Amino acid sequence: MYLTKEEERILDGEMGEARQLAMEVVVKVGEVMNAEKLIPVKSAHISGVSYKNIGDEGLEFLHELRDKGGMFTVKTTLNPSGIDLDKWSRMNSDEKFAKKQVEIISVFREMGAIPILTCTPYFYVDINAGDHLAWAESNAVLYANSVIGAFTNREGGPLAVFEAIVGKAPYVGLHLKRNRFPSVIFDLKNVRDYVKERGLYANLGYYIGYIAKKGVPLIRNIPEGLREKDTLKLFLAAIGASSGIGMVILENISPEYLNIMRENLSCLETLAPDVKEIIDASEKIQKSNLEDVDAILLGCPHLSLNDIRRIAIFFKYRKPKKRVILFTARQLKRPAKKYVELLEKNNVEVYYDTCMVVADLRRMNVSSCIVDSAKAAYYLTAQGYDVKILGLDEVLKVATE
Amino acid sequence: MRQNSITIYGRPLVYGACEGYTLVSDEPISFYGGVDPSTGRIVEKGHPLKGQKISGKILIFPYGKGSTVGSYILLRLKRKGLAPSGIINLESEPIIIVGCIISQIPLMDRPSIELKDIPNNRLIKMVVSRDKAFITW
Repeated sequence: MYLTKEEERILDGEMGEARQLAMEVVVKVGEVMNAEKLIPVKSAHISGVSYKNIGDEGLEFLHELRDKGGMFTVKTTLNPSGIDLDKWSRMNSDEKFAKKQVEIISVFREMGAIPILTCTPYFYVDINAGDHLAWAESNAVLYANSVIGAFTNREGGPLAVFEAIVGKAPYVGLHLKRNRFPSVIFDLKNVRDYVKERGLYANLGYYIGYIAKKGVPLIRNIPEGLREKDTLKLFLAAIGASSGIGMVILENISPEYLNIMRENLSCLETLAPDVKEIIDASEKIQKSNLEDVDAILLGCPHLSLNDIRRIAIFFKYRKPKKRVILFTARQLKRPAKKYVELLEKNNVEVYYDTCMVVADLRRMNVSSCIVDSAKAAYYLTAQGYDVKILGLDEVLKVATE
Repeated sequence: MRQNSITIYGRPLVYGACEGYTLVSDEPISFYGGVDPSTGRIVEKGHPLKGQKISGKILIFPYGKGSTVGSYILLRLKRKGLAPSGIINLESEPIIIVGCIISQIPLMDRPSIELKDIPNNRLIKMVVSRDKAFITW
C-alpha cells in the first residue's frame, strides 16, 4: 500500500505512541482489504460507547490511548451510551454502571470527541455529497451514502477510534466510485401502496437486507412516504440490521441515481416482491400476535425534531393509556423543549444520550414492547425481549387504547 | 518413532510467536455475544464449539462475524488472561485484525491447507513475523 512520507513517519512512531498504534491498525486493515492508499476523512463516528459493550478493559484501553497522547484529528461523534447522562436514576440504572459510563464519555471528550451521543449524526454534523467519512453505526453509514451521497464504509466501532486519531481510512469499498454501482434491483411496484398505507417502511427495509445480504441494491418504485427523512432512517436502519449492506441507491432520492440512470442495467437481476414476502421476512424478529405489552418504545434510530413534534401533537389530543418511552439526541433538548414538556405532561418518558438497544430495559421494568423499528426488533428479540413491530400511526393508536 | 514435522505457511498479520493446543471451528465466531468475556468459553447458541474454552488455545476459524465491538471482547479476554494464544483465519476481517493488534495476539490468515486439515487439539507452534507466518507441529 502506498503511504505518504508523513504516514510513514507516524508509523515509525515519530508522532507519538498513540498515533503509531492507530496508524498500524488502519494500515493493516487497509493492506488486508487491498487498499492502494489511505483517504483523508472529514468526520468520524464511533460505535461501541456503552459500558455494557466495552467493559472495564475497553475503558482502561481508552485511558491508555489518551495517556499516550491519542487525540482525534477530525470531527468525531459518538453512538448512544447505556444511560441518559442526567436522568439515569429515573431509568433505574445502576450507580456503578452510570459512573463507568460517564467516565467512558469523559475519556472520549478528552480525546476531542464532540459529545453528540446519537446514532443519527447525519442530523447534527455538517456533511455533504462527496465527503469521505469514517463512520461506524450501520444506519448512519446507510444514510450518509444513500441519502446524502457521502462516501463511507461500514467501519467497526474500535476501528473508527483509530481512524479518528489518524484522520484517514483505507481507500476501499464504498470510498471508490466504481463500487457504488447497483448489484441487484428491487422493484417495489407490488408492495408500495400496502407499505405506505400501513407505514411498514422498517419491515420493507428488513426484507431487502435479508434477501440481498450485501452489495448495493437499486430500489425502484419507492413508496411515496419513503421520501421523508424520518421514514428513510427507519427503512435504512432495518437494511443495516438484516445485512452487511452499507449503501442502497434509491430512485430519485440518492445522489448516485443521477449517475446510473443512463446506464444499461439490463444485466442485473430484478426482484419484485409481493406483500407476503415482505411480511414473512420480519416474522423471525417479532411476535406478531403479542397482545399486552409493558411499553411502547420509539426512537430507533433516534427520533428527529419532526418525529417528536408529531408524537407530542398526537398525544395532546389523545392521551396515552400505555407506557410510552422515547429516545433521542440531547441536541434536541432545546429545540424540542415545548414538545417534550407537553409529552411529559402526558406521562410520556423522554430520554437523551441512550436508546432502547443499549439501555437496560429490564431495569426499566420492560420485558415486552411495541416498536416501529425492525432494527430494534432484531436486537431486542436477540436479547430475549418480546417485541412487536407496527407502523408509527398504528403504534400511536395502540398507545391510546 | 519420531514423525517428520509439518509446517504450514500463511499470510502474516499480527506479529508474535506462541505455542498451544489447536481448537478448530469450521464456523465463523462472533466474539461479541458469542464468547463469554468472563470465562473465555464459547456461548453462542448452536455453535459447534459451544461450551469450549478458547483461553490459551490456538484458535482456528474461517473469519469473525457479528458486532464490531468484538474487537474489545478480545482485549477484555487478553487482560483477564483468558484470550487465545494465537488466531488463524481463512480470511481475517477488521473485527479480528483490530482485536488482535490492540490485544497483541499473533494472527495469520490464508493458511496453505484447508482449515479442516489442521488437526484439532494438537500442540503446535505459531510464528508470525514481518516476512512470514507459519505453524508447525
